[in-house]
Amino acid sequence: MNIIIAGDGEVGFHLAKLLTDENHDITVVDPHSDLLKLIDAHTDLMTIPGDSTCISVLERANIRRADLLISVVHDEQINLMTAIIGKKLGAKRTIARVNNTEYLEGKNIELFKSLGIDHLVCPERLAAEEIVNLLEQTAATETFGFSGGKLILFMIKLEKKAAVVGKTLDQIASEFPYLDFRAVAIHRNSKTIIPRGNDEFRANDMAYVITRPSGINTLLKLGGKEEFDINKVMIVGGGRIGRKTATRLEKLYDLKMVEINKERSILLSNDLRDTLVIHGDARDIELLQDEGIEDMDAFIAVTNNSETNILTCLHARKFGVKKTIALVENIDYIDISQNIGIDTIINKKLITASYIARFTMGSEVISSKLLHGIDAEVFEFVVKPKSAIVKKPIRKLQFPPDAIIGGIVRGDDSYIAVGNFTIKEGDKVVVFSLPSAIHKVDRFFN
Amino acid sequence: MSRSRTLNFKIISRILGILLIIEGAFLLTALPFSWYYSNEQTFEFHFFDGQHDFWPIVVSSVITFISGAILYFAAGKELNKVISKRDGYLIVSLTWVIISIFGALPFYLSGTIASYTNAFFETISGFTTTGATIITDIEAMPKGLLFWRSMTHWIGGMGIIVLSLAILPFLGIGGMQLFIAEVPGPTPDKLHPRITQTAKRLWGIYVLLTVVETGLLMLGGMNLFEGLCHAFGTMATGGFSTRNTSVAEFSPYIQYVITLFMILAGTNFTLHYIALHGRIKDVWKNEEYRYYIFTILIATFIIAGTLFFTHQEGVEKSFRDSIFTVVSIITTTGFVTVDYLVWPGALWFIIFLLMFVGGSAGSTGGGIKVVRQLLLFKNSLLEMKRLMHPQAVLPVRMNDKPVSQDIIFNVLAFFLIYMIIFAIGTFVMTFLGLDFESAIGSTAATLGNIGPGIGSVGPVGNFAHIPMIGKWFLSFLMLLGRLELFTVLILLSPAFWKR
Repeated sequence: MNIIIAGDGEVGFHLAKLLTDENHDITVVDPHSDLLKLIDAHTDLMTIPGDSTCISVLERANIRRADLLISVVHDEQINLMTAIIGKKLGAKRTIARVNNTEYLEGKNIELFKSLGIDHLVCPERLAAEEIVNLLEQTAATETFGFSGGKLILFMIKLEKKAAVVGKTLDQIASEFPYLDFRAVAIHRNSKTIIPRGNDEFRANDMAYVITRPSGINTLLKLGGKEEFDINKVMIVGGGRIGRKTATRLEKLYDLKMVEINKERSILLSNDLRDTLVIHGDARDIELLQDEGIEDMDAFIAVTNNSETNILTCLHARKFGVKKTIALVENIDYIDISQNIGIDTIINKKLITASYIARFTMGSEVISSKLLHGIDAEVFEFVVKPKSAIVKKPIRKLQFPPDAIIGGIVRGDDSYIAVGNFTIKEGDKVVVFSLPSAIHKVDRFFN
Repeated sequence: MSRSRTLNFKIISRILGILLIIEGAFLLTALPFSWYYSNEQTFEFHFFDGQHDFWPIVVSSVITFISGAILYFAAGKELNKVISKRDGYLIVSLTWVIISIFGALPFYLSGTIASYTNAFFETISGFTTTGATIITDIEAMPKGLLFWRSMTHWIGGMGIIVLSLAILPFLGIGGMQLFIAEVPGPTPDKLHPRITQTAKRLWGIYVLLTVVETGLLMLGGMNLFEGLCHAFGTMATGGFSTRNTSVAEFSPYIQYVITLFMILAGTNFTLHYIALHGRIKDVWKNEEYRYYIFTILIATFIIAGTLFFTHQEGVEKSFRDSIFTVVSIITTTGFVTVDYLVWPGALWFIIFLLMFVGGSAGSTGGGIKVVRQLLLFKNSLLEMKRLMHPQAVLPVRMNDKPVSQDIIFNVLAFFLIYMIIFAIGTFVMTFLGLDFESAIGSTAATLGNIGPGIGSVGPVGNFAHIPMIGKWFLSFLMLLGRLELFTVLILLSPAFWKR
């Protein structure tokens, strides 16, 4: 696929890398040639310095042949403009990043389609949604529901006392025959393994498991985790993500928000009627204690500064907060922050990039999710009539070793993938894949 | 991406192995010609007799192939495929040395070139598309070896690394490092977002032009063997011929065909790509191309005019000799139709200057390259303006776009280092006992990858009489010239080896 990415900022850079690894032909357009030099040296793609709203620049990027134009610069007006012009110049599909959530509302989709913008993406909104989902599933570190929750992927960090530690997958399957689950990946010592029957779980593994909703609670207990209810939540940082999260959560929970900037605090308190907005620096421990950090059930740090987020989350853990979520924008920090005990990390870039990446797949992908901290993605495919996947039982498919089929949703029922299961057309299939295999997986569904 | 500081020896070994295997395969292409042109004794073993080349080529190919396989498997299975900048420079420099070491085997094993030094000199002169030869009687060489000699040109012209990028998809990301290190010019152009695709297109154009030229040469009466050898020599801007008197042996038609294709070979291959896509007008918009053509025309005009009045050889011959010589030197090919050393001294000087011009960036030509000279020239003119208006912002422009300071500094450094190496080279050669003219000529001709120089290494002379140390030194200069100084020199800098 020929893809043009306008904007070599955080999201653009990550997206370009991801899509290049997935074998797409990428051209990156950005006015800053310094940024372009960096990405050019590390990634196999073409760069064009210039303004993406310039027709001549887009033409040099071969817009006529572009299958997809993604505009992700910081300024939403530029993105909208780029998408509109790009579409008129021949790009088959266009995606623009916006900040204004009003644009994302269902009734406005047609308006933007008529302008030539096929999809709108708002990273902050995606991050806020992610936070809301995470609070609903308190025991797991990361969760994702497929087909409206009929199948669920979640990640748990295995405690030392967990019942599964030291056992192989085969042993667990024979000890708990009633349990319907499939472990799709284990992240251990910064490496991701796709486990086979004779691989065993160890303490502190991060296990990615796909299961049906009925199996969740048992499985969490096996992992040494317990569900708990959330009532009190503290959010640090009233930026765009903090604000969007608060808007979604303030009716559900008892919410406190700490914001460092005075004027911004006033603005926030005007908009967020049910949230207690506190003006102060969250790095100040006394302030946190005054505001009752010990009583909090969840602590969400989403300031613009990754270090602040990590440190305040560590503090919160020290005070006994069970659920901590930190926004970490520096991808290199993710692995290390998970190791020092912050249970959940979210990253705007990864969320956005994986959201956009699904538009680049030839098969019908309903949803996709890039996992934090590890280099892998989960996809939900709709099986087309003549695709390669329907011909044989799963065992005989010769599915690439770096990918694994997790589960299948057929009508209202969901199944965990086992070797003798045969997939039919119309099924929704959940696949877990390392980047190297994504292309091969796509072929099975095309 | 890991930015490990240590060299990734496994990937280096793997890539060198693959390249040797490719070279082993290329060696086999000489066998049909060896077999066709040899007498009956082909299938008897003959080594070191100076006449037979079939088995020496086979054995060389096998040795190259096995060595390649050993390096390939020495890399092991657990391979980190990330190629850092340092790895890239080391791989490219090593590649060129190693393929020359193995490429010299058939000459040595057959005994046609008695000493290994000479065989190595001949081979690296081939790969670097220099075309400086130590062979006195070329026509006496077995045809298989002559074919391999021209083949080294062809492989070296577009570059064996670029070839491997085109046919081996796995090089991906690290490929860009290798590409930059091998392709001539200050900033290589990409024709496609993927480096593999870019390399494929470049080699595609290269093969296409070679095939067309071979066809045109055969229409002019050459047989397939000579057609291919001369097409290889032209498209790579090499200069090895199959005749003792080079292209002077052939008809004016063939000389014109070769002139035309030398001009094409000295043009940026990106422009060929643009032209093939029907945007011929855009080609002329390229400043480097216009300057390149003008330089050829002006030099031809001056030389042809002078020759017409001093040698009384008629308009056509004066024009043909001068344009052929000018193009052959400026593109750093080094084919010869006439001994320019019998021309008036002023014309020598023009030819000597042309040796420093070189082809365009992104072409197969050597030398300093037209684009660098254009940038230097523009920068120097702007410097005067800057003196008048100290506060003015005056970027150097190329094709109407400002060129970044980094590139200007790089070009200035390149020019300076080129001249310093030229001076040191001349000193070394005089020190080894060459007369001043030949010392200058041999240094300029090898550093610029041209071939014939002036003095005793001129168009009718050769490099056989140079002392052994001189041959190794000139081989090094050829490598420096082909890889555009920095790729090789960086290996000699302490910064490269410091952790």
